[in-house]
Amino acid sequence: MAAAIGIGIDVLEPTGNMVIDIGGGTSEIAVIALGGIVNNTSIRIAGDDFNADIEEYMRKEHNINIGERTAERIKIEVGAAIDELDNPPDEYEVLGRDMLTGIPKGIKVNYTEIAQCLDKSISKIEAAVLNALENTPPELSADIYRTGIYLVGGGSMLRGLDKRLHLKTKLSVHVAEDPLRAVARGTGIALKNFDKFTFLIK
Amino acid sequence: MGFFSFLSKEIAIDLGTANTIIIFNDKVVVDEPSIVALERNTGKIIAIGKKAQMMHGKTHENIKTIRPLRDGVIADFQSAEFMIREMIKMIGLKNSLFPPALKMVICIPSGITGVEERAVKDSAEQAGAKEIRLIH
Repeated sequence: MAAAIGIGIDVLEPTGNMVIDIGGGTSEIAVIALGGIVNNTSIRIAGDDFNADIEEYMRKEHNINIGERTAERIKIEVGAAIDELDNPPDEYEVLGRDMLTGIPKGIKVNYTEIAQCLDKSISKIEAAVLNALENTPPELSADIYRTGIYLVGGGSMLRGLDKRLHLKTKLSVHVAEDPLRAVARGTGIALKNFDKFTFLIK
Repeated sequence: MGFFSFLSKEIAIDLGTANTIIIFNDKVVVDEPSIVALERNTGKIIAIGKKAQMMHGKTHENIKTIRPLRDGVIADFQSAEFMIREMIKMIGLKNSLFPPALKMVICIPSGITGVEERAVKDSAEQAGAKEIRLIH
């Protein structure tokens, strides 16, 4: 809800909007209309799980142990959701500990590898999106067909995620500007309407 | 509100698993990773936010870094409360004579349970909030 307000949707209108927030710990897919959440799917797969996937992949494929922070950096530098990007990022040098010798070492990774290792988690998010669309009342489905899907949260900055969701759903997918702060902005607006927004929970 | 309204401050918090953002006077005043670093034997807070993140994964046995939020909800109640309190201090409210009465709106995930909702509210109350609203 806060995310929807943050990207400038008038949530009190009788039109449906679908917002996907991929944060650090949870991904949430919600359909919003008339100042309320019509249906929502919340799955506990998000940024942290992407990091864990990358850590595991590095361990299995390259025999290199890396920490959570390095995994996060890899995700930011070369993270991708699809194998073919129009403007691919440069290779990134990963530093960590060699599991066989125990000696620190560095290797290069590119975005296609990361896309493969994130594939499983992203498919789960895709499945959740499809599930949410399935459970949407038909009148709101019609609205969503027109307005498309809005993506917010740090996870939406993953390269090619919007394209991947577009290919899966055939709907237009918009990534919010400054997706990291969209939710905070919305919360700020809610603060100004402290008494007006009835959907705030006491 | 009314006469004493200058004593109350309104803040909006996005309490995220990865980053916590605080908005005060329409501006983002705090944007820090949600991490706390503790000294293990005294339980004292050494650092929060970016400074604690630098320590994450590089600690010796006397320092522990905690991410108080897991999967969008509070997993470690005490350190979450510390974190909220310290971050509110970062806003730099000048009014030192009276602790300001805080009016807060906090964002929570929509899949949250009643107990988890309660935990967020209690943490905020402990950190000095007078009026709290939650938003999904």
